[in-house]
Amino acid sequence: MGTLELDKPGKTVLMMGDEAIARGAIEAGVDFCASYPGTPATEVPESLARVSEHFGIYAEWSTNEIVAFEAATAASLAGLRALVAMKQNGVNVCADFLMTVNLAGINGGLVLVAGDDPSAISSSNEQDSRSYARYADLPLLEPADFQEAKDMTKWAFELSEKLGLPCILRSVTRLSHSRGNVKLGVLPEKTRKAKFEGVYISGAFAAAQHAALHQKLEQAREEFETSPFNFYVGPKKAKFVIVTSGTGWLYSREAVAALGLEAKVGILKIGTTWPLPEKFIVDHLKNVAEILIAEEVDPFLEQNIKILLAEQAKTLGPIEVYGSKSGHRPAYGEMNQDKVVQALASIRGLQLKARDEKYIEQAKELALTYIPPRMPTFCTGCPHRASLWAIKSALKLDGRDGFVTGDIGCYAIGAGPAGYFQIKTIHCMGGGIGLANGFGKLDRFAFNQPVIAVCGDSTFYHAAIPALINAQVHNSNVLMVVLDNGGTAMTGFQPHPGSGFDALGRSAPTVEIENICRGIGVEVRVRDPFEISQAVQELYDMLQEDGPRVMVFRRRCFRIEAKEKLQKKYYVDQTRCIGDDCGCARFCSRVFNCPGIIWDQEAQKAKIDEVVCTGCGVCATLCPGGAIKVRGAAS
Amino acid sequence: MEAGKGSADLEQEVLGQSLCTSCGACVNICPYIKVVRDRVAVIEPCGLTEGKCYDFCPRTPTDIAALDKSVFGKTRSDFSLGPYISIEMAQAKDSEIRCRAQYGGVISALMKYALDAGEIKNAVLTRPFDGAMMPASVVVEESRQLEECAGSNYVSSATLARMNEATRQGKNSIGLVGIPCQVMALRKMQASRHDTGAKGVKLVIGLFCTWALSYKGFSEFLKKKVDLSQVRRIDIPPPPANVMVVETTAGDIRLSLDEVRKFIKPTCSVCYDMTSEFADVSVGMVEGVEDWNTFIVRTPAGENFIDKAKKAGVINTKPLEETRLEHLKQASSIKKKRAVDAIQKRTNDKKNLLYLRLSAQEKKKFL
Amino acid sequence: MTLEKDPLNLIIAGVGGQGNILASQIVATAGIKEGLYVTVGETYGASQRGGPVMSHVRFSAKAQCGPLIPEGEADIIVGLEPIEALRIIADYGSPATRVIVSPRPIYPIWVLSGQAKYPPVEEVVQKLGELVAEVRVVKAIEEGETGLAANVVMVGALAGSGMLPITMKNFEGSIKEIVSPKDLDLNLRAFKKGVELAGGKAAVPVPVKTRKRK
Repeated sequence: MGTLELDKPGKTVLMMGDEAIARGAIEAGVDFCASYPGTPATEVPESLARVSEHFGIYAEWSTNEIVAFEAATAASLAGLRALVAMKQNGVNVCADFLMTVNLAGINGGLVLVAGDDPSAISSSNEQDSRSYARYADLPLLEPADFQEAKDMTKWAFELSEKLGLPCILRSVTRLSHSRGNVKLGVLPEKTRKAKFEGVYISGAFAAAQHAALHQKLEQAREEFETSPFNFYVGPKKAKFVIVTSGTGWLYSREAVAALGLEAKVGILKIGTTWPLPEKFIVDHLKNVAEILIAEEVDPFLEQNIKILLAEQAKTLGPIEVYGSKSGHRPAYGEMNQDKVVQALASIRGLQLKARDEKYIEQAKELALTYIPPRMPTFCTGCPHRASLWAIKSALKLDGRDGFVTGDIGCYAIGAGPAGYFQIKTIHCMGGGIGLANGFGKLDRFAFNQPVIAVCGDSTFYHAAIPALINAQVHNSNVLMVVLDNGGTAMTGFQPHPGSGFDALGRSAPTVEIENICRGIGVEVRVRDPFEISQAVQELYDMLQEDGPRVMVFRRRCFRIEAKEKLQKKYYVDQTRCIGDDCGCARFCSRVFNCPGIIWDQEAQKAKIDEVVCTGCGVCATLCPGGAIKVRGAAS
Repeated sequence: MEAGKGSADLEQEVLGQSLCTSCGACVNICPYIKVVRDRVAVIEPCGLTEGKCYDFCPRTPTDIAALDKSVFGKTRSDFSLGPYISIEMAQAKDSEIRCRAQYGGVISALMKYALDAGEIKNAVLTRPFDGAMMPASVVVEESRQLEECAGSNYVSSATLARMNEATRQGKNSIGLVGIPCQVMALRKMQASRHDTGAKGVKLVIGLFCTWALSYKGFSEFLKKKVDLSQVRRIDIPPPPANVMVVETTAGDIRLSLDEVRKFIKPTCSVCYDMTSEFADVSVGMVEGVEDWNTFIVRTPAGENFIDKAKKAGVINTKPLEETRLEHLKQASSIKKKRAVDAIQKRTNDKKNLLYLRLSAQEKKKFL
Repeated sequence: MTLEKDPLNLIIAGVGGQGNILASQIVATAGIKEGLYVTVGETYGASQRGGPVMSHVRFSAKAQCGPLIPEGEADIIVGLEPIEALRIIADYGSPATRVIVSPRPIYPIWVLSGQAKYPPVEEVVQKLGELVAEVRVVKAIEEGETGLAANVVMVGALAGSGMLPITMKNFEGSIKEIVSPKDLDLNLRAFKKGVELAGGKAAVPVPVKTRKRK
């Protein structure tokens, strides 16, 4: 039994932030979870799906975030407790619904977990989703550690029910994907039955509803004034206070300790960041002369606090505010304790005990010039490497300076050396085909470059279909290549409508990509990208045609495949390897660039790296010398 | 053969100048150069400064006299038709073969004999229609498979790419049917210091050729008139008709040759060889005579093979009349002269003949 | 329990696909069993795709730490790959850092393509030695092996080194809790192999000795 199901209240376990959120939802008696996977929020619904049978939870991977949010809202309207989790970009997808469900209201507790990704570690942007809470007038909670991640989630359901509003819980990668101590709480008895009653319509009385929403927000503020997630630590009469939220709390505490400032600097930690607990904050800032706002990405807390300070100027007197505006914290990128230390030291004129500069110089020299850089690449066995090689080949053969528009997925690294620098645009999910269908209408302006839009299978269902329909009805000259690897690989192989199984791994109906294309009326072909020469030929032929066309490159992600069957072991017959000579010139390692094949310096021949090779065999089909063979097979 | 150049130079001097004949000599000898339809491209630079691809190409510097020596053991005395032993008219004895073929059916008959008699084990040649109008180069091991290869085609396919693939798989004792640029490239491969499977080609039958069409341009043009999958045969009847007849399942379509000529590959204008001068045996039509081929035996190996074929009763021959021979020489000379003119126009330099390295006598005749 | 140095900071550095995350999870769970606060900060995302991956594991007897180790504050580095151990010294290393490293290279694609060179491993180890207090080379993968469970061999080596105040019992208990039953035998064997390779008979933890923080 895993920690999620563990019925041992009071026991401390190691939990990932996302798991702690899931456990909080379980302790709140969550009934329904619908989500679309996205780093760093994926493990919240994944955890709930894992224990869904155990706790009687309905869990699904939805087609996209807005569908997930709407489905979860339905559960709430029927009186159930529901959770929807998504990465920051997903909140944008939900925004349309978000801006009306706030007015129409909800019934059972509804929590939207927004997993932000400061520094865009696994994302196409690092947007700060907190602004959505202010924008939509919804209560916002920001857990600061693993324990809070669990406890706040549990409380968020209660709060949501009390207010009749969805609650936004904002996590970040460093919390969601880090692990730490969590003391388990009590598992509830679940008795809720679903029943829909009432009317939930936004629009007809939107202005009145908007006014009521503001009142609900005031009610939330009242609740927040006494929340245990807002607290102060430090000396009683500190003149200098750090105001912080989220991960900033742990970083601030360590920074104060590292500088030995515990007796001089206080920390005001806010867990309920919208609406602000104004009275609580004002109480703690009386007699304070300077504050440093330590938060991640946007100056959200900073600006709201500044408004509060302006409003309370008579009570509080002048307070110097340090933060991103003052240049003490960048309003981009991840936070860490070193950044808080730097800010504190510069404000207070402290001399930092610096690391030995010579040492750093020596180590940096080694890191930057002595050892090679390590770019991320497609996994060994990844079908995308072959697909992008086929695309590159077809475009080169076509010779009209064609290019590739892309979007978000594993294949996005195809913009770099892993994909032979083929992908030239990357924005949001589905953005590639959307752009391509615009490029495809530029022929009257002497535009002659063929355009290929690549899109993952999961992305196809999520965001590409409207653009493809648009291409069809406007006869746009676009070749869409769906890189179908059988699952949502980027986030860990969650199923999508074409996978044939559901969030719990049970068999499910499929919606085939090619059937959707045929339904739209677009010409569609399906091809295994490992059959590279046929793939190149078909792509080339399709490039010669006008109007919209779809090629589905179908081959399962090797990480799914490798789990299911024993793979062949390949080796290089070095007597047949052409090596550096004309006729090969190290194609497999140097150009195709699969990390499973290395260069044997001594023999001056290629060699399989047994530690890395997954045995997909695509290199054997490409080797001009026929030197790559299966171990144990007849030669 | 100029050494010291590689795929980057090939890309710049040949592919980039629309001089590629899509013969396929550079394809399937490395992972970098690919062909689809009649488009050849260097997908990625291989990084080598010297390579087979450049060495083999019929549009990289080619010394005609040196190639003569390598193929025939001596330089040519006939500057219109190249070295030859005899010129006759010929036709297949088998009327069924004649019926399927355009003109005399000599090639089908000779290849059938070569395979059946064990003179060769593999025949590399072109099947005129592979789906939508594009010819396909094929390797044939049994003579009954030759049937579908009968007939002419006016788009060139990368025959040598298919041959390279076959030799890489270890096939040898090959008989090859090709157009002049393919034959020239094959001979360059055989003469090369590089190791190549082309050395396993035993018999080369060259076709007469005046030009080939670019697949993309011509197929797009034709697509507007007919569903390409319905095309069964394409023929250009002898002058003065000046038409191309496209036989389809939905009836014949007659195209004006002037219209069709717009789609001639640019590289054909610089071609110096109409009669496959480096083949063992060259075969073409005889203007104004249906059912017969012009038939040039060039090498002793070719002669030896033809003698056997004649003895086996595979073909009928009869002398080519003097006026027809003169006519042929004239046509070939006109092509050479036009090529040289076209090259000089391209280079804008009287002395720069691009790929052509001509002897002093040839220069005197055609410059 | 008190730690001689609090927090005690460990980095496990390697390449995507080497099982870095499982390794850090085993070590961290063992720390929780020891009654400590443990925080593990991990880099996901590009990690599965052959990029560098690093886990920060922080132990404290006093409070939950932040998920990131401050600059120059790594006390122990476990390198699943030699140059990845060296790569992080500039940011996190100090002359007091101790390193346990597997000498088996995983070649970056720029090395495969010939745009960069992979230095000789002995030289990498020597350069590491110039920068840190101690380097222990642990041959987790023998020639020709596929490196199955090499990550757990390295955890075993860490346990056997006595650098962490965690008992063997808690390490093994952690493995049993985390690893799926069908892989348990393999992983326990790998762990024991690591303990032996580290020369560690240390069933009882050796107290951590590092310089005092100023």
